[in-house]
Amino acid sequence: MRKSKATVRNALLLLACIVVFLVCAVIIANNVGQGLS
Amino acid sequence: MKRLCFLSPDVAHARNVVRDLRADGITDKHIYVIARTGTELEDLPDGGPDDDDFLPAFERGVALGGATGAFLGLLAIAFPPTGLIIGGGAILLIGAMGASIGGLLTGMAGASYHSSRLEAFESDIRQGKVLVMVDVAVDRITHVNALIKRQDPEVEIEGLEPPAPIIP
Repeated sequence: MRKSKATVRNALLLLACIVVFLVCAVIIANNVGQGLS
Repeated sequence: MKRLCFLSPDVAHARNVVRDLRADGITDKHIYVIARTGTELEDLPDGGPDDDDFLPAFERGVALGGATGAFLGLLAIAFPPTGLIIGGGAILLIGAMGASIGGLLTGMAGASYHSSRLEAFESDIRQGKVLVMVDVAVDRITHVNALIKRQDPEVEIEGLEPPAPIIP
């Protein structure tokens, strides 16, 4: 795998991390909000 | 496949070896050349994913972050904050959050470091030597060894297993 391909793969992995983090954060925040109200 | 590594004294030598390897039918996909920053490699194949420490750091970050997150989820269930009812899903969700943030941060940090797998060669590379790595089939190792030694019989060839790709 060449450098450019490796960079694209790294970027995709980082993007996946951000998406997973945001989805989890939204679900948790929703549940906490409902629990408090 | 087995990865053969050796240090070329200079770029010209590395270029000769790579030319021989190409002539022998080994494609650029299986050849990696790593040199000191600023060295002009021109048509030589680059170090590819082995140039930096992204993947090993990312793996460690995901594992550590996931474990820490799952542990925090367990703590949240054991000692729930007042007014909140927390189910088992919290372990999964907080674990996934920990894994993602761990992978994100350590991956970005690892990308700015040279590969920890190649630490043994780092001082030689800094002195101006050129690291050449070739992935060869196990039954062709002797042949490729001889091919490399033809350019410089004193070159020391070391074996290193190629990393198993997470995403093929």
